[in-house]
Amino acid sequence: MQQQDYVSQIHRCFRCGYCKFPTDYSSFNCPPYRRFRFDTYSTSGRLWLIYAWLKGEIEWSEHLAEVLYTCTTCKNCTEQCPMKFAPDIVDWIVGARSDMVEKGRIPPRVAHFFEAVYGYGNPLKLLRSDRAAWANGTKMYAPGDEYLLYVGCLGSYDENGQKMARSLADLLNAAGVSFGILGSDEECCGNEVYMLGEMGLFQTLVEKNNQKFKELGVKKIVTICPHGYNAIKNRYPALGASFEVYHYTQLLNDLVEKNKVKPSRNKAKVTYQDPCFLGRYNKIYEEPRQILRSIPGVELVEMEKNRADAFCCGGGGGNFVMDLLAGGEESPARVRVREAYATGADTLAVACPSCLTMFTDAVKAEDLDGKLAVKDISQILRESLPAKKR
Amino acid sequence: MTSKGYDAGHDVQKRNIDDMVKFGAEYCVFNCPACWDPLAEKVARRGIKPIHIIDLCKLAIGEKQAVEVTA
Amino acid sequence: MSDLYEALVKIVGKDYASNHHEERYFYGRDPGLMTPHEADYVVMPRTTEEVQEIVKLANKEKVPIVPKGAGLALTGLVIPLKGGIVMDMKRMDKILEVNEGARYVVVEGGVSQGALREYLKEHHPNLRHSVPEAPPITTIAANVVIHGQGRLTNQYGFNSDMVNGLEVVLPTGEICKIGSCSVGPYWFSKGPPLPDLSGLFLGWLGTTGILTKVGLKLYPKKKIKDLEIFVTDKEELVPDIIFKITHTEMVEDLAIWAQERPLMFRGNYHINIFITADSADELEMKRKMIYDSVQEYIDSKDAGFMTMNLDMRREFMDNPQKSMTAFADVRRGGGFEYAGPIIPLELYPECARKVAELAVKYRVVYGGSGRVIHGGHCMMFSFAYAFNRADLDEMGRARGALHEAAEFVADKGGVLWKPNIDEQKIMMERMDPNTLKLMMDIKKLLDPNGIMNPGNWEVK
Repeated sequence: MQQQDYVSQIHRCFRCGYCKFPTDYSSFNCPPYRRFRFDTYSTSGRLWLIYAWLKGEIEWSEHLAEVLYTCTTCKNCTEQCPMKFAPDIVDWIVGARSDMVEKGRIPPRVAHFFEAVYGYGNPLKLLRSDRAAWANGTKMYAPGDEYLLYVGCLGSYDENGQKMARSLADLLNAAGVSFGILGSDEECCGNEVYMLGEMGLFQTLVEKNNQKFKELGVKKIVTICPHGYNAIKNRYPALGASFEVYHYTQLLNDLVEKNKVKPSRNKAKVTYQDPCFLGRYNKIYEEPRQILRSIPGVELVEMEKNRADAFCCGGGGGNFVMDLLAGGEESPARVRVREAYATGADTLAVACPSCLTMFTDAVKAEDLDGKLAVKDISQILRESLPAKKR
Repeated sequence: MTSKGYDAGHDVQKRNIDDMVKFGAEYCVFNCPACWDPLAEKVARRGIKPIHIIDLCKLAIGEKQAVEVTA
Repeated sequence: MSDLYEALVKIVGKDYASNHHEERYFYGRDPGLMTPHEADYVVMPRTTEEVQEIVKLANKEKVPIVPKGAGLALTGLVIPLKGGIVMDMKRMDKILEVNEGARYVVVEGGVSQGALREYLKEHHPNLRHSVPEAPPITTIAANVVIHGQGRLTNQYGFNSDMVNGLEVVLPTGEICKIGSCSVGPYWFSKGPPLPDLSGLFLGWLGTTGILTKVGLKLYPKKKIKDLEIFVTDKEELVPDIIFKITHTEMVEDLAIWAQERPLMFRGNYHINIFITADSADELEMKRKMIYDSVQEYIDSKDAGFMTMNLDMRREFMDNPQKSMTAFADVRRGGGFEYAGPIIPLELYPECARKVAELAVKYRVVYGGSGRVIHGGHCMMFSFAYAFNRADLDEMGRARGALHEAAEFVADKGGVLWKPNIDEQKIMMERMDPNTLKLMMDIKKLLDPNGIMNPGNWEVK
């Protein structure tokens, strides 16, 4: 489905509202609708407003942009929509965004996001030369290494993401996995850039990354971030890439199954957040859970809405930087943290640095510091290794 | 049942499944969806596994059964 | 008017009042065929007191108010025909009380059908309410205000018959309790043994007040459910078939459908018979009684029961029936609207022929379905026509088909359900003049400034 097809298709939304819910109808599962409650912020609102904009019935405005860019592209709507075009919904929104980028009609926050990625290789506007500052001597990728560990922007620069990167690198080293990183040669994966509609910039990023991967003879890539996993696995091949792509939970699960990583005891009651780009986008639901179940002492409890019904942390669509859904008790990350806490868990396990950073902040806002720890799966697994193995 | 009424249909179905039970069938293989629809669940309730011939072939070549009906 | 916006912000907070064009545009239309009209403001109150403040303000400023649930009646009832304030009720989403012994629930005016269904499943699994086939975002309050129907309508009547009490904000701003709750803490009756004032609000399409609380009857939820489909190709037999099936008093829901596609359904009239039971024996007893009740039609080969595959059964048993919503995209255009008159069963054959005839005449795709109400005292017949929202000509033809359907049924003595303004006119033209005068007098008494959903139930 090309984005431009949206022009001829977007009128097909019936505004039935199934997109607001998970599979049962117990609560709202569309992050911007939950946050703002105006029907305009639900998927049907967004689609009808885009159609109105196309017909010239409404003009572009900052408010329209807010409605448009508060979509985190979580795909709950795709999962729930009863119509045949359901798989195309997010493509339509991306298509509209891409048209607006072409016309130069984007709000400042989105423009800054693009400028930062273009100028600095990351949306946080931090120095390229600092991209491997977290690495603590982690080896650079050399031809012949089995895996390229693609760290991503949040893994490289975000305080919480860096902890993920370090613990994963430690685990891979402990398991004797042959891998390396690109360091400051790594470009942003472009997933959010694509979702925000800057196709030219996305293509540039893909070309730069692909070039480096080819030069180094990379065959297998393992990503920390599901956003990166999604982009490299699903979008890069159309622009010439061909590698095997894994998310780190798939690799860790494999290592645990083959006894190359042997967790010993870690007593914790854990609930797991399915990241949108791992779960709904790529149907990877069980490997992260298998890792958690393999750790003696870990009791895995599920939130009511899990797997394809998981409630997005609100960080997608660039919102882990732009934060358009912030503010108040109904911001998605705070809602989800409350749902996690309600399971009785003492740990909320994540597999995405965006979820990690969104939930870490939300726990503080909900006054649950000390009551609910937020950790990624590599951190939990690493903590469960005997001290000398870490 | 659809063309004769409840008692006649019920009687035919019961005799069919009684036969299967009497001869110790473990599986009842169906060839036809119009037979599957009214009978699969009833067969399962009497402790026999209903399976469509297509699924039998899938199992034979190491694939998973696509449609399972249990009691 | 910006003072009005500031006043609204003061009542509900900045986050829940909007004068942005985007909200005014979106809340000024529904997915049906009626002409849109933009709102001036959209607000989302959280409490009855906020609703009251907004109503008082609107009275003072003589500004229209249109209360809105999900807008999925499709007949334009939430379109602010004269601008003003659209009040999105969906933030009032608390389920307040369930009295298990008396089998009722009290909900706020914005609670959705889906939320109540899930709440009961989790907390009171032996109780259920009459869930309509409309999408789950539709609200309990809006559904009773338009005399909606649901999965228990064959057994217990219109969903509005299942109301057990109301809290309303009158157009002049008073908060009023209706029913047994007006004299005590219980919500077991919407009227009897007192004068039944619920009739001042149910069916008035939001023109006489805003429902901020609804008491709703709950019913036993049995463990097993099943579906039989009885099919005939002779529409003239349907009324008697229904009469015989309903005589058993064993049926939960009876829905009749006919459609052109897939081709295997063309020319046939399918009667969905839903049964529930707490045991296999109870279910088989009910099934046998139903089969026996129509044995003569089986013997004459004029009708018979249809087998169905598991997917089809699962789709039909789903409530709300998600696949019904997909009718909106048969023209790859995201639209349908239906005229759903309430008729005596004897009119079914003519309506069944008419819906298909109009589809040919106006070159539109149709779905003809119906739901039996309260054991067959009447039924809802739906003339549903799909359209492509991007094809103005097709939309016009669908409108034409609906108008002709409405005139046809009204001429026969059917009563148009949740009528759009065109259909309201058709009803009022045919109404007993004293009845019409009574309606208008009541409206004037309750809403002297004419602010409540103006344009509806109005004699021009």
